[in-house]
Amino acid sequence: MTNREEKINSTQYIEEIVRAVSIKKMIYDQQEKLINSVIIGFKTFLNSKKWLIYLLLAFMWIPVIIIVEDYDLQIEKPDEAFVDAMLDGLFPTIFIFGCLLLSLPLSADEISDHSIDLYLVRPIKREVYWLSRWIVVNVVVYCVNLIIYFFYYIFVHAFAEDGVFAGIEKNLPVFGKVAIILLLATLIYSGCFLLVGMIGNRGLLLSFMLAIFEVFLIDFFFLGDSLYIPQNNIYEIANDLLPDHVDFDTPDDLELLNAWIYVIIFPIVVFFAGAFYLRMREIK
Amino acid sequence: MSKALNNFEIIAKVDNVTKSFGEVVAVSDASFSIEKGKITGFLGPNGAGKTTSIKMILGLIRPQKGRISLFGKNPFYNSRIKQLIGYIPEVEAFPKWMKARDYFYWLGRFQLTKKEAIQRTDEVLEEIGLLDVSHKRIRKFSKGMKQRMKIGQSLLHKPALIIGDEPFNGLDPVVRKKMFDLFKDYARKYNSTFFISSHILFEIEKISETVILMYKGRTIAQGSPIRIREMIDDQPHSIQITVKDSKKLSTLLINNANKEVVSQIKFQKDVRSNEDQLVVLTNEPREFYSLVTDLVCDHEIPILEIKATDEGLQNLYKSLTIG
Repeated sequence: MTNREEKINSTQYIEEIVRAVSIKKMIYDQQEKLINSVIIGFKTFLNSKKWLIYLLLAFMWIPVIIIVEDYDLQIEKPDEAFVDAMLDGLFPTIFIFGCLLLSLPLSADEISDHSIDLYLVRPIKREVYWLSRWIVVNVVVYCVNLIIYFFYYIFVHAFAEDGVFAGIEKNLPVFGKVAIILLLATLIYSGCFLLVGMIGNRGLLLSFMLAIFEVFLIDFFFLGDSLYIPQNNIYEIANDLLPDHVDFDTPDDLELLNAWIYVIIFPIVVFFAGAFYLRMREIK
Repeated sequence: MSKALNNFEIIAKVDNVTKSFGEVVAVSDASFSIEKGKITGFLGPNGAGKTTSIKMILGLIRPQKGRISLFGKNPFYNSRIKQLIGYIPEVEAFPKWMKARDYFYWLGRFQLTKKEAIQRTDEVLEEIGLLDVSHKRIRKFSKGMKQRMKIGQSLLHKPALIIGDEPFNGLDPVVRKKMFDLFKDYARKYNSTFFISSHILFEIEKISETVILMYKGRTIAQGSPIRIREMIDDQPHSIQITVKDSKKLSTLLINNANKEVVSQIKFQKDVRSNEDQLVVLTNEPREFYSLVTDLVCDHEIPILEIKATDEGLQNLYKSLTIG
């Protein structure tokens, strides 16, 4: 038997593990677990294939845009067409369902296949596990959408009236600003759907209801003018970032600074609510 | 904290714990302890509260009343002590996409360094006899192979305490024997403690040094497997015989056995095959089996199946709970 084997599970070994450690050591220890959990999260996501369904849904939007906007594949102002298709087309519809779909492999699916049981009986803090899932969901929702948005950016410029790819470089700042709005929307919605998905099977239903509400029912419940609806705050920022391209109806008393504070605070609140929920959650 | 806890002679302690889900009381005022270095069996029928108790010890759920300590700490709020435990879940707990090797490696990385995780992945795959199929996706495995995967992942970091929730379900007798030996090996080599739940006494008595009996959410007895077996043997045994000519066999049994050997005979039909069945109640199971063997040989009666039902154990539960 080697020295390590002689030591393992001895009283001294157990005491070493059980004894309280310095915060610095604990952070270093949990940092390693976080990285491991993030890698598992990315692998889980990539293997779930739900991102493929989302990509398919998003690209199906192309013929809809062509038909509805009657572009006839001769796009006069590709930058306007791009912003219109993304912020007025994809964002309020498919993006919301995308956040729901892309967060499922890391929330409801992990609960239903019981892999969460195995992760949480390992020496990773529940908050750290939640952080890992939060990071992965935000990164994947943003990256997958950025790919879609970039594809649309290329697409509209490919059919520019002034020639193939005319203005593609000049319009890059517009793409950049749309990417910023996308980032804000990602931080708000993906964390939200991740948290609701963590409830489990009922969470799946709740997530779906939340998506339906956000996409279709806000106006029905006369909440279109509410300052606390994420969409309104995002649109207020979009109006400011892209004044030449969009002019969304936002509540009259919504100020730009408050909109920025809202979109920064909202994901932080959701993150801590999620960490608290997972700390208290029982894995039955 | 007691001296025993300081020396970790008692690894886990469950003190008057109660847990209910809605109106269903899963565990009611249960108390027991897991001693270091022993293989402890956790025996009870389905629905007795074994899984709920295990999940509370693991810190996956919280007790409503009472206290649980694992290595002297509250397992629900202390993640560090989980470095010391391995868990074999009752249900399949596999991400659908994972290959056997990935599964071990990535789970192992929570407790081991990269080098150790690679090494232990190979070692454990070898120990559970799945090294040859380690590149395959777990979802394509048979039930028995999946069960071995569940066992394997719990052993990766050579934990001080391994908690198994029905770990031998779905294993054929040969593999089951191998897993028994593997557990005993870990207990000897790495001083690991095992806490194994089952509803089958046969499994538990083969491997355990001490047995905790649980029934209807309460711990009703704790002792050596031999003592538990003796207590069960004192209870009437129910033996089910599927036979072509049930009338002939029953007549022979009545004519050749006393009241102790055959105290009651019931006739029924097998629900699946619709074959005749006899359910015999006996207080002397050894003599009964000997008698049946003689009778079927002498009179050439074809027996399709003969098996003991769980009633001996059920009767013991009842006698211990009713008093």
